[in-house]
Amino acid sequence: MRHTIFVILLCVYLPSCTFSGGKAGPSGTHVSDSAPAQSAFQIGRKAIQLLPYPMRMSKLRHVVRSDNGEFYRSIEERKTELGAYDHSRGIGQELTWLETRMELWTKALQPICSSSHMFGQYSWRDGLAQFVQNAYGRDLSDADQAIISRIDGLNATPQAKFELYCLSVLSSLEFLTL
Amino acid sequence: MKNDIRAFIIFIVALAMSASYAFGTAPVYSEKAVVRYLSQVSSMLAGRPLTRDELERIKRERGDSIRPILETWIYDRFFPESAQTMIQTQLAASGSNNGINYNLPGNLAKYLARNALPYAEMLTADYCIDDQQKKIPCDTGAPFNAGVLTTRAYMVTNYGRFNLGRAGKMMRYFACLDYPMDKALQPPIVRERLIPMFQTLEAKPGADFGNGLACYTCHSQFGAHAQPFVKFDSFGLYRPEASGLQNPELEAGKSFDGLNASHLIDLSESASERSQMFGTEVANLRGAAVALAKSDKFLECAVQNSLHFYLRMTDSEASAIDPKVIRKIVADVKTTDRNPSLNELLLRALTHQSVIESVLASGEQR
Repeated sequence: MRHTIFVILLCVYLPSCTFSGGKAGPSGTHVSDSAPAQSAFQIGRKAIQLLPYPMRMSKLRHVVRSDNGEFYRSIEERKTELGAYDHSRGIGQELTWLETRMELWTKALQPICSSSHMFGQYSWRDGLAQFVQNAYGRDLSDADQAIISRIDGLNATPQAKFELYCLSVLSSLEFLTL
Repeated sequence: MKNDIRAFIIFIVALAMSASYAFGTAPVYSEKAVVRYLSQVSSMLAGRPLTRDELERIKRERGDSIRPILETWIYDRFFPESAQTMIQTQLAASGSNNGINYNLPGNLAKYLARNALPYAEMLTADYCIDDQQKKIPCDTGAPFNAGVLTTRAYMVTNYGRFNLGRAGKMMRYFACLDYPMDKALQPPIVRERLIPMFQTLEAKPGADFGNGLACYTCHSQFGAHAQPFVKFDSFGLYRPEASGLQNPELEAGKSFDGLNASHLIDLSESASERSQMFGTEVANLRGAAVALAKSDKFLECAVQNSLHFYLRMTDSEASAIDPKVIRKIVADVKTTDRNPSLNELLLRALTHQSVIESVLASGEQR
C-alpha cells in the first residue's frame, strides 16, 4: 500500500509520468518539421485515454520478457476492472484512467516488479536504460534521471529501489497511453 | 571533363528536385517527426514501443523508414491480435455466454490478418474460426455462410424489430452508411410492396408508428437490407419456416417464435430471403454480403474503421476523415490488389502522406 501511494504521488508530481500527448520525442523535445499539413482529419484527444487492454498487456510482456502466466495472473484476474471487455457479459471496453483503476493496476504490478526475474533482467541502475527503452521506446530523459536519482537517495536495497522505479514506469501514463 | 561531370550531376539533382516538386513526391520528415509518428501507432500495431534497432533505422533513413517499419509490424505476430480487438470492440462482440461464442467475428478478423487474406472475407468467408484459430462451420445453422454476418454473435448482438438492428449495423459498420442513402446506390423498394406503415411519405395525424415522418424514405431501403435476415431468430438460429408476418399479439416488427417481421406486404415476398443489395438481386444473406463486399463503399469503410481504431480517434473524428483521402487510399490499393487484406489497406493508409501529416499536425495541437 505504501508503495502504491508513493508511485501515485510520483506519477502525479514528476514530469515523465505525465501524459506527453505525443509531443515528446526521444529526448523529450517538441518536434515537427514536416511539410505544411494536408490534413485529412484531426485528432483532438482531450481526455486521457488508456491503450486497449490487449495492447497494454502486450507492452507489459515486452518489458517483462516472460510468457510465464504467473507474472500476469493478478492482472488477468481483475482485467475487466482494468478496462478489458467481455461483451457477452455486458462489459464494454473502458479506457478512462480512474484513481481506483490506477491503484488496482499498481497493486497488480507488484508481483512483477518485486520479482527476482525482473531484478535479474534489469538490476539497479545499470539496466535502467534498457528498461526504459523496453517500456517507453526511447532513451532515458532528464526527467527519468531525476526520478532515478530521487529513488536512489532512499534508504532501501537495490532491489527495493528497482521495484519502486519499475512500478512508477509501468503505471505511468506514457506507458499506459502511448 | 571534370566540369562536364559536375554539370551532369547538377543537372540530375536539379531534375530530381523539379520532379519532386512537380509531382508532389513525399516530403522529407525529420528523424524526430518519424519517431513521433511511429510512436503514435506502435503500441496499437506491434503491441510494444519502438525498439533500439527501429530507432537506429529511423535515424539512418528518416521518412524512408516509415513504410518498412510499418510493414514489419502489420505482418508480424501481434497485428492479428489487434485486428481481433478492433472487430470485437467495434462490433461489440466478445466472450461466450449461453452456448454462444461471441468471439467468432473477432476470431475471423484475426485469422484473415494472420494469413493476410482479403478483408472482404469478413463478409464472404464460407467458414467460421474458433478460439484456437481453426476453421469450423458457422453456428447459425443456415444452409449458407457469410462471414461474420452468419454468426450467432452478430445475430444476437444486433437483434431487433424488423431486423433493423442487423441491417443497420451491416450498413453502418461495413459500408459506413446511414439511412436514407443515395438512391442510385440503393434503389428503394416501391411503396406498394411495403406494409402500410412504411408507405407513409409525410407526417399525418394519427400516424401509428414511429415519428410518422417520411417512413418510406428510409424504410424503402432499410427493408431491402433487412429482408435477408428474416429467417434468423432471436437466438441467431436459422429458421427455414419463418414467414416474416407480423404477430398481431406483439409490437410492430415482431413475427412469431422470436423471429422478426418483414417490411414486405406480400406473403411470398415476406417469407423469402430474396432481396437486392446496392441494386444487385440477391438470393439470401450470402448474396447480399457478396454484393456489399464488392462495393467500393466496403473498402472505404474498412479504411475509415481501421484509422478510427489504430489512431484511436473518436467516432466524430473518424466520420470527419476527408472522404477524398479515403477514396484515394482505396484507389491506390486497388491498382495492385483488387481484393486487399486489412494488412494491405492499413499499410497504404498509414503511409499515405495526408494521414501522416494529419497525425503529426494533431500532435502539434495537443
